[in-house]
Amino acid sequence: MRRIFTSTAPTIITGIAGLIVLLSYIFPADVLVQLRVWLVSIAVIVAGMALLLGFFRLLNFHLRRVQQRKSGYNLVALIVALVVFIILVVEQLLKLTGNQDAASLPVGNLIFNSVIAPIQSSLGALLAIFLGAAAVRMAQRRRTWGTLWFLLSAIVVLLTQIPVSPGSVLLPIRQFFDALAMGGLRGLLLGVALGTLAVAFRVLLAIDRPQGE
Amino acid sequence: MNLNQIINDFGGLLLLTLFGVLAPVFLIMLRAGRVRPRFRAIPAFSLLRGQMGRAIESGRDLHVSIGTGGVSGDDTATTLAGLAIAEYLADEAAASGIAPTVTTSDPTSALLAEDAVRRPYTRQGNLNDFPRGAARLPALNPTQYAAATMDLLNHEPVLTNIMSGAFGTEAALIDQAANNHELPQLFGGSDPRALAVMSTSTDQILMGEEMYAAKAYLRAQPTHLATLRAADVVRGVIAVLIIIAFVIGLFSQ
Repeated sequence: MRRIFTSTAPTIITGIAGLIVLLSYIFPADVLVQLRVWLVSIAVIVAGMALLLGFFRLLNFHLRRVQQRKSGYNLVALIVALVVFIILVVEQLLKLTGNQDAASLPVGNLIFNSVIAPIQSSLGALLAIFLGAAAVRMAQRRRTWGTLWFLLSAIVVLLTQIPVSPGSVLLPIRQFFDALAMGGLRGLLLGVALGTLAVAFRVLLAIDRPQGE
Repeated sequence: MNLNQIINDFGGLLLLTLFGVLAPVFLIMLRAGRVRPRFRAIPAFSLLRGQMGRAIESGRDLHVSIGTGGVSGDDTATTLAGLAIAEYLADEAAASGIAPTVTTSDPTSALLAEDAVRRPYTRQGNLNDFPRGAARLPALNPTQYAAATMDLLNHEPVLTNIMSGAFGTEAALIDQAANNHELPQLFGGSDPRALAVMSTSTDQILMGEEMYAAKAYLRAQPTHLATLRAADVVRGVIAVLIIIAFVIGLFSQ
């Protein structure tokens, strides 16, 4: 009985749902498209529930760390996450009940604009420095023709980012490197598409069962 | 209807059909022993073998990041390919009661990852040994996830950093933390930006299609080998078609 719920049923449901979605793209008949929309709506609800579960899982992780007395950071993270969660839930509930004052409550935006966005921006800024450090590290560790080619391409792309006039000598150099990069990129994307096809094929035919035992 | 229009309208369907026909044919031939699968060596997969054993011996963890993609969008196949690696490592470790630490920033992937790591324990009948919380969801956004993973690599005893899944440029942040601790790294991805970033620090890279071949290389089951062989043939067909289209285009001008 357990096997029906953990293996057979998920496999059958995945196969049928996958086939319907696939067929709806190949033969866009109204019935199939409506079925696809319905299935996608279910997926959105499941993803929403997974988000909630994920949040409680995160809290549980920090709670266990606090119990193990591993780091004070976990206690701070736990309290901040809980407080923000409660504030935002209350704000959303007030808005849902049609409370006029609540409609203008700025808590969610305030947290995003004052905390999350600046921190993410600073990390984004660090990214440029880390990329530079990675290039230097590469030049130090691996002195190969490949490394030289990689760094040369990076320098050319950086130099040719500046706006140039149509007759500039930088333009054909940039176009040459762009053509090379585009060829490689398309080859990579072709491989990814075929890999995706192979994975989808195995999941649809229940050869791979990521959703069950 | 000209050739271009036919290719645009039905090209994908034709290739899908070709793949769907070839895969079972190769499977039958493999099972009958008529073909011996020969694939080129990918060094990154050699690094994976025995990795869990080394982690157990050294008393350190293996960190497996399956990226920032979910299983309900464009990144589904990439995430599943990353999960295959996590499950392989969990399989290696199940007998010892140690599991790799799997992280992601997508809640749906986190649920699947937990299940993938738990499955070997269920198969071996020692579910009580399963270390709960092996799959972690440290953040819900790629940049925040990278910051949380940097923290993990900085403060937890990690032996090897394995990243296989959907990543963007935020991979550079994780890479920096791994490099600070001189951790060996394996990276598998499909995003050209992440691949470019990671190629600066490790040779163990699974580039694009190689990542999707993880199951075939690590488990070598006929079904996986057959689909891999079918994908190779379809790729060959596409390459020939591109060359033909190029030649026709050249002469028609």
